[in-house]
Amino acid sequence: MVVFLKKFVGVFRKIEEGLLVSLFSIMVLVATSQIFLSFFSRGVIWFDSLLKYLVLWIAMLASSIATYSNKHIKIDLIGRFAKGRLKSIVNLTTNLFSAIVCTVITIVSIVYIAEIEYGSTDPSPFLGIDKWILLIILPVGFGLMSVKFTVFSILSVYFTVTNRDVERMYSTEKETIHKEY
Amino acid sequence: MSVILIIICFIAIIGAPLFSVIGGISLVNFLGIGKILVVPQEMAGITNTALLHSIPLFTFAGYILAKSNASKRLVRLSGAAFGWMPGGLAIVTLIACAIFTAFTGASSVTIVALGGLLIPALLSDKYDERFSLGLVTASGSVGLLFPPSLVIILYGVIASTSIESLYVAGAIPGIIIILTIAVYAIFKRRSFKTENKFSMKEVGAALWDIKWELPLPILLFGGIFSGKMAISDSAAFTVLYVLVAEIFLTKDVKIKDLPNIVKESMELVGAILVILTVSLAATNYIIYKEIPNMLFDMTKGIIINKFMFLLALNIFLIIVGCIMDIFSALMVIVPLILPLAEAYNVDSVHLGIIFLANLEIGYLTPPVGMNLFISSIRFNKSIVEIYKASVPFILLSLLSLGLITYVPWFSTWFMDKTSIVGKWEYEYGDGIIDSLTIKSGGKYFRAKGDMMEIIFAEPIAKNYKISKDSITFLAEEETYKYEIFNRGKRLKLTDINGAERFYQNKMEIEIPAKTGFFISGWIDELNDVKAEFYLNGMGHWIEKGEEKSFRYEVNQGKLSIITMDDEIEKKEIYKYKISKLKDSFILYGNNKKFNFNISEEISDL
Repeated sequence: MVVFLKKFVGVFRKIEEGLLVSLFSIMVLVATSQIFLSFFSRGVIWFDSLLKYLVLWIAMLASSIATYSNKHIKIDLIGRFAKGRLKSIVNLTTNLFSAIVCTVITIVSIVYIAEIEYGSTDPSPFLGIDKWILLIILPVGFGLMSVKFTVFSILSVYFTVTNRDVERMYSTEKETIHKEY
Repeated sequence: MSVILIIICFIAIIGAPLFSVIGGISLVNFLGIGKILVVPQEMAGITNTALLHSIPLFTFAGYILAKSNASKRLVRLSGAAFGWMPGGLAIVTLIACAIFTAFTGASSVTIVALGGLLIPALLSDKYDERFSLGLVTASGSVGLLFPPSLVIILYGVIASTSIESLYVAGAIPGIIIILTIAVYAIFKRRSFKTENKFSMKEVGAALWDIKWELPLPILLFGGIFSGKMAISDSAAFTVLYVLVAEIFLTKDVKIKDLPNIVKESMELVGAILVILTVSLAATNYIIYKEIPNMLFDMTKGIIINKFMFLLALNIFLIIVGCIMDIFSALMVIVPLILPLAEAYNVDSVHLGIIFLANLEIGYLTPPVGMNLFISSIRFNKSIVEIYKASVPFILLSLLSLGLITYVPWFSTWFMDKTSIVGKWEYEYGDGIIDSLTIKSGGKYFRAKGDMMEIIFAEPIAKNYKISKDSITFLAEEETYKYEIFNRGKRLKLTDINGAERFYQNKMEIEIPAKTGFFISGWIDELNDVKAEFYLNGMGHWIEKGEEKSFRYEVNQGKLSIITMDDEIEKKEIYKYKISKLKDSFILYGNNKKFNFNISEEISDL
């Protein structure tokens, strides 16, 4: 099961990363062309809005990708020093908790978009694209994360039962400081 | 409800991602007041935040620089320039790390990229190992206050404070942090003769080596500080510059490496921005529940003045720094502390510098200080060894923190003082308003009563006197100590019995002292000119019976009078000289010279 999940996750990760890299390239293009345009004092007004939504999309996608390699910022006063089975249980708790939070945020943002943004008469931020379409990344991003945290929770149970090192769960990240230098 | 919150806090300290902790707390809180849709609404509000795109852009540029050999060239150049001094290599370490950290953002990058070059160099120059480890570990975060530091941008975004001002404000504190460590290093090495010699040839060669990167900081600082480049543009400019320099000129980075660099840098950005997104909801709850006010009421018995507040803030932030990294600490703590700091009249720019200098120490403090872990892994030493090596540097950082916190001048020297001139109102509980219009030249208007009485009150100019920090209203024979709060948002008057009243600024703009001086009525009898400068930036000029309106601006020691003539703007720039008693001034330029004295005829506008 673990092997299958890893493979599935691998393909999925590639798609997310591809999207992230493309969006980031667009952002660099837009931001740099803005300098040149404003140099000739003819900035494009909606570029500013576009940049703001690009940041949101990049942030959500990147945050989702950071989940794969356990790169999220945490306080970690106790978990860091846990070992063995206790570590697996700590891992299970934190992953399960994050899965629940992300799921709830996904649901409330869907409700929010459906109830408030969908019918809203606010002007489109740019190019006639409705604001609710641009905000759809909120439920999508948190939805992706909730799926991942759920998978990690299931894996945590598996690792707890078989008493293996949970670090291996996040093994897709190969670079360590040592290997790089 | 509070049981759930306690459970969430427990889950936080066992290592749940901070964004889910803050998100969870926000959900529970807003569910409690039946407004759960506020959470996604506030999160969507992140798209209203200005300048946010500079965070991914600067991070990306920093990661490219980290991947290139810019670190080697930087170490070579600073080695050539400072290596020959006593303690020279320590200074090299500090300067190279500071510049590198400023560009790459405070993180592991500096220690990982520069440490490998610096530690062997330090050891071969016979620095003792513990000192070298401590120095490199501490240097990993010394550049945080210099442009284009990411954390400064983040603070500016969260506290909606001018990032340009923060960059200027951070310059001297940043140098203080470096100097304290440099002096310690020189002191330690005072009797040691280094074998490194100064060679102009090597300096030249090192300069030539770094020719493609060197223009970047110069263009960037020059652009930002001269006002020619907006912060938002500076981020895109840096990315463009670094891409061209590292891919095409130095060829250190290959195009095919770029997707990976994007991914790596954006993981950090995503981790930061997702916290920022959810913390917008949390901040909204903090404001809705007036939690800062509650904190203020709870603590004002113990924290009686600004000094005590700053001391408490320092201690609190050291503790925060021990358990949180700088990014999350900024996002979680700033919205909570900012209103408190306003209540104690701590400038938001100064507050930002204190925050960053304070949290910087957190990188070095156990148990979660990131630099400690990175050094431990990077140099193959036990974490305890790194702890021990860092102790003197933590103490030195505390010393500079003290200087930065308690001498606000280091961060606020460039900012104009705020004038007491303005329209101030205090509302008594029963709807009675005390309205004070203070003008320059010792004139004021005062009306007391309900709103209608204020509006229809006869404006009669009366005289006041200012001596040091107190103001005496001569007509009422009342003397108050005064203090201007939050760059002119409020005026605090304290009477002789110690009772305090906060007057709100009705003009809602800050009037700098230099502008405030002109706001009054003036007369030049010799040239038959009467002029009045109003609070709102407009004015009225009567010359030999001929009247005109104008707009005025005061900057860089010059007064500009702007008039509209057939819809064409005409701007006359004058120099001025103010008398000692501040009741007259000479205005000259444009082949004209006026000798203005304070006029008895002034309005309350």
